[in-house]
Amino acid sequence: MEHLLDHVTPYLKMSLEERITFIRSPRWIGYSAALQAHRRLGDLLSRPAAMRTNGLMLIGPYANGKTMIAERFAIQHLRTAPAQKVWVIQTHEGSGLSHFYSSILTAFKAPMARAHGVAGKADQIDQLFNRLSPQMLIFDEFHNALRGRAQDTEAIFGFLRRLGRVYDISPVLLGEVAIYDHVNATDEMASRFELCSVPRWQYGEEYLTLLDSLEAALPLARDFGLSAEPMARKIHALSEGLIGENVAIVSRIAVHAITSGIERVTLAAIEMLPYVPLSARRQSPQRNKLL
Amino acid sequence: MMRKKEKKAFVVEVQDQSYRTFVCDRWPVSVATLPNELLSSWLKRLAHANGIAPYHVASTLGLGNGFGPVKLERSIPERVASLLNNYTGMDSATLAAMSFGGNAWQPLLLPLRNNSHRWQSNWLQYCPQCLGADPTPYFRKSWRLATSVSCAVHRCVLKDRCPSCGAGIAAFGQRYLVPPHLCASCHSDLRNTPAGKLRRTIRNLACALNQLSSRQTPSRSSALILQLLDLPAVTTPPLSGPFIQLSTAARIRRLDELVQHLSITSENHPGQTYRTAGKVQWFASGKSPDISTLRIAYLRARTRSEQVAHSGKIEVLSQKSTPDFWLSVSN
Repeated sequence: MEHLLDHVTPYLKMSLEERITFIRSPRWIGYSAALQAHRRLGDLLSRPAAMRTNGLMLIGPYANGKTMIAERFAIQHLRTAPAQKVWVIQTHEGSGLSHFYSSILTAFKAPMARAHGVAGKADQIDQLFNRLSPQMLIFDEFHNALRGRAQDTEAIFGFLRRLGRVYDISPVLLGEVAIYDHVNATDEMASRFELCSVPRWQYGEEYLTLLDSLEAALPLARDFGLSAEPMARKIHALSEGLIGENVAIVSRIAVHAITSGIERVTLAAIEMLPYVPLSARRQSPQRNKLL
Repeated sequence: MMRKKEKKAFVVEVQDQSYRTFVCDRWPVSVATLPNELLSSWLKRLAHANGIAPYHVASTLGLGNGFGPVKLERSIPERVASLLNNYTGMDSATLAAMSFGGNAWQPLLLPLRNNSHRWQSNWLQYCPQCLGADPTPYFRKSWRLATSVSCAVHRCVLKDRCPSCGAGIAAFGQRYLVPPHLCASCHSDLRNTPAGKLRRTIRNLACALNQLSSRQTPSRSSALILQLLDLPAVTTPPLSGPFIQLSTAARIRRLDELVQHLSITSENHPGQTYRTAGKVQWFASGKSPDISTLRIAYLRARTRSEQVAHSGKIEVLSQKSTPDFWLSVSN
């Protein structure tokens, strides 16, 4: 089975359910933009002390692997560093400082006082940061914090600037293009954040390499040849260049092939998959069937 | 589009752990226990390190109002011990060592609670010099016992009030973020309390009580404990209220009166003293009705008084036939 990676070959002998479970597990794919993002995060983590905030914006469309990049970086840091210096914070849904502080306290697993107002939470955060000296805080879904009044957004940005000034913490903001708009609205914030984009995949050599790598990582008895021209174009069109959708489609193809027993794929089979691309779902025939 | 013959590939790995499952549930800052530390003192330092007031730690552990940890020092329920282990990694043996569960001296703990008249009967004691000498100030276990009226290390009298505002020392339950060595009401530094010397008359008795109470399960001491609890009733004039509910100053006065009674008694009835090689034993029995129910051997070192009390081995012995017992001090 020379078309498969070494660690995948044992899975061919396993039962159907185990193969399907393995196909559906979340995967990290080390493509060039992801590795570049990791390099920039690593540089930010190891930079010397500075007086001003230095932050990064990791921006791209949904389902394009931003959270996977950030979590992988954090887990690798936790595995190798003697003390934790990177935290991943899931931004709470509400806007305003109180929710934002709660997100940070939850991420730090700190005990929380129910009666604490904004001032109490701010004091607690100051105490914790003084003790723990974090160097990087990664805010996942940061655009949640920007959906509010202008003064709430300003307050949160002011807090991020204070973090950099007082504790020398680098904030990393993950999310969609709204973050880019808000940050670049003023020079004050724009001068502190650099952009690291996670764009959609264009059809090209690298995209075909992606499909090959995915195939090699799935326990398929035969090389499907997904990177051949017509099938690759079809998959690219369905996924619209988003890596999350790509992985979902390829997994679906693989599961379908295994369960049906036909260990090969044709263009017709792909079209018969019940898969509708993201942008087409709003006005699709399948919606009309729901009426 | 033509493809090259050899295929490059990206690294593809199953990411079976998400960040959330990787990070454990522990509170961010952990605090090590210090030698002979009281449980409520450790919890106070833990709360302070994690940025919340001690009152909220109590509610996080499901302990209700702010006096929960004071009750914890009597015995720790299983549920609370496992929660603390989950959040701090402290094992139950260490937690038990900081409390008095199963300790024979438990009845002599200061209650530290408001009585039904809504004023607090007594407060936690502290030694200002111990707090001042600590790199991190903390409260010792022995300061919660009613038998402790002096510091075992510095020999000064223990205080139970703030020197500036006169408020009692809150054991726990503060709603504000205040380090343990500051008064909860006025935030003045307790380490600056002027040290007081213990009266010479009861110095030895206080030392003996400190040494006795530092043992976990002294033999045949339950009678002694009961008699200490009854101490105010046998003084003149007899007071109502048990020993353990008195403030430090009141307890010192009671012990002083006791010693004076015993010295009068032993002058009238010179106690039998036995001196054998390396051992000096004193036996005192009371004949007067005031202390008829209380017999405590009265330590009066004739030679090298304090060294005997401190470096000697103290045993509580009793005869089988009579309820008398005496304290034996051997060099």
